[in-house]
Amino acid sequence: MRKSMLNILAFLGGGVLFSLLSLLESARPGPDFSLQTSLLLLSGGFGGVAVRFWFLQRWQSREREADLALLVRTGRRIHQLLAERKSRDELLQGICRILVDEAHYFSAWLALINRDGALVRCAEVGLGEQFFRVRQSMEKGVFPACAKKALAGEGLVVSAPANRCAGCILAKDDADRVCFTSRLSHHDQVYGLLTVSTSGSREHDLEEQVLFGEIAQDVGQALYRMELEEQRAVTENRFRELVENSLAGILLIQDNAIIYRNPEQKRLFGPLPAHFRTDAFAGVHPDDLEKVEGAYARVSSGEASSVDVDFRFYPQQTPGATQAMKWVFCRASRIDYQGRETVLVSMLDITRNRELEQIVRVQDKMSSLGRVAAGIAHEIRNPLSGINIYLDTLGKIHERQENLETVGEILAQMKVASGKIESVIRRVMDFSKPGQPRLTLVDVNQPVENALFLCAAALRRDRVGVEKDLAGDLPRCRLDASLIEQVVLNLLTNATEALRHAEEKMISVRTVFEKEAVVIRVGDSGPGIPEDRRGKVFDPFYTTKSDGTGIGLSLCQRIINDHHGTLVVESSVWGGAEFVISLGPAPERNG
Amino acid sequence: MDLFERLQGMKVLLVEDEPLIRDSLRRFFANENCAIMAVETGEDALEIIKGNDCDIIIADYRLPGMDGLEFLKRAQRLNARFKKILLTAYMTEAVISEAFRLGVHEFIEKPFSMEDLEEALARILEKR
Repeated sequence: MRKSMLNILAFLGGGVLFSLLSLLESARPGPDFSLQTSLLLLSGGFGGVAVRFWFLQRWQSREREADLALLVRTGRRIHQLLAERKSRDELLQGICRILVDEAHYFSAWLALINRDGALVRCAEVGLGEQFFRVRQSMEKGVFPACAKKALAGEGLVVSAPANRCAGCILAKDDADRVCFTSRLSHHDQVYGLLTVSTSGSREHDLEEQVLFGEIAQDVGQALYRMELEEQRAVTENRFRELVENSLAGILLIQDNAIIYRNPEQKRLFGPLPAHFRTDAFAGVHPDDLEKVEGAYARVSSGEASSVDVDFRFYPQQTPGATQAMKWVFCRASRIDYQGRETVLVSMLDITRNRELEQIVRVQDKMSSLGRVAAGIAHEIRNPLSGINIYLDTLGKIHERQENLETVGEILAQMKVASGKIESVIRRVMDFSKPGQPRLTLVDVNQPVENALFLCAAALRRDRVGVEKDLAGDLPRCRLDASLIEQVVLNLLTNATEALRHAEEKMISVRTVFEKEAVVIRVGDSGPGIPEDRRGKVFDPFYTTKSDGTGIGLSLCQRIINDHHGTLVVESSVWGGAEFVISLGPAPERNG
Repeated sequence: MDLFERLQGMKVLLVEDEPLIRDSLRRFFANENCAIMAVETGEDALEIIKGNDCDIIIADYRLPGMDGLEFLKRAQRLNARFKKILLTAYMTEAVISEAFRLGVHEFIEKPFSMEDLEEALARILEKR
């Protein structure tokens, strides 16, 4: 209306001005209103309209340039805001605020939806009360028509006053405004929508719309990045919680320095001084030091990617507190952590297991001793009886002062008897003595002989014949003689029990050096062990005896494994079972 | 009459694998002017019984080869007249009841001294 009025005015103005000018030129004033005059008036009118359009165009293009520049600046500000890593609510509110305060938009609102299309959060600037109603209906799942179209992927939705929907967010007095609505998305993932209202004159301004679309794209990308970061934080958090609450002690070593310890590790090892060097292995039990150093060197040099080792150590003491020795099973692996070579060490506290194992070992020893107790009683009571009788004889000789010449012989015999008792007691004590394996250089024949001695009486009682063939020139081995004695005794008592119902009762005990190993063979003439059960006999709690615990052989194997040897079962020359212990000889020193 | 004076006319056989007990008893009896025969196994003892009458047999329960009770059982078949004393270092119910069935007259538990043996011998001689 206004536009057409202006055009008419410009037309009339132009016509009057042009005709007056022509009249002045021709200097022919008169009332005649010729065709020429009319033409002049008409062309003047059109000229006036053209001039008006020219001025208008010029003025509008200046305004647009300024507008677009403003929009570009706004885009930059929003970019800066996105980079500031604010919270989501702050970010959304900030975007709306920039669009209204710094760009030429009257209002801006933003809604985020989840994957199911439900409203998650929203923000607005410049709408105030009007937004409340829309927000309520969006919370119920009813979105404005422009929002629905944008979310459906129609690109930029322009809602001009003419095609505005019935329940438009804008009040009726804002009737000449136009709304731009764009989806916020990235790679097919829809995060929500952004709507601005602006002057109706921008309804067909394509460049303006493209710039707005780009701002919406940037926001979509930022939301995608935020989601990624949140997911990563959740994953990281989950792993951290796993590690922090792990039953295993976990530590990370980089360049020989500990960069992380989880709570269990701290509980296990106690506080570590700041200058603690991982290669110093402070607190590690001296007997295990060599083993631990070797394992750490293998993994830190890259020779092995992962090593398992169990060792004892004394936790670093807090002043005034006494810490008991701990036993851990430890796995060290090379990993890549934050782009650097790192040794990951996880360790389990097996102190209690070892204690229980120790108890079981002692109990097994005791039950072995129980089985040979009759023999031991015999070994002690016989020489003791001898001593008693010799004393009675000496008493009689002293009383009568006769046969004095025999006193010397009797005293010598008594000495033999007391020596026998002493040796039995020493062997029993050695055998039942608890404690850690004490490795010393030993001739394997020594514990074998001791075991044979301990059960000699039992073997005689059961009328078991013994074939003994011990090699005389065996290289010495590093072993705990009392443990090996326990193993051989266990094998001997097992063999004796296997012979209970056998016709021919024979046991063979041989030692020999073969294939670079010192081998102890304990065979019997019993029924033997069928092939399919040979693997099972070493399982803990596997037993065929009604009164057995099934611990004996598993423990034997454990002891031999601790000596880095092997214990297997084969067939004896009589078709019975033959247990074969192989032990590596100690390396010869000094050639 | 002194115990050992009465024993002087008797034949006593000791079956015991422990050399210290054989030797100490032999010396004690010798000191009392008595003689005992001492052997290591039941098998050896049976050989002796075949050729000689014995009055008293002192046998250890635990012997290499046949045990003391087995030996006494077989010895009884050869000669039922002798008195039996059983020595044991480790007495079990099974051994005791088996010994009673065989009519063992005296038990002596190891470790023992001459006092224990003298009392057992005295009781046996009184019953005769």
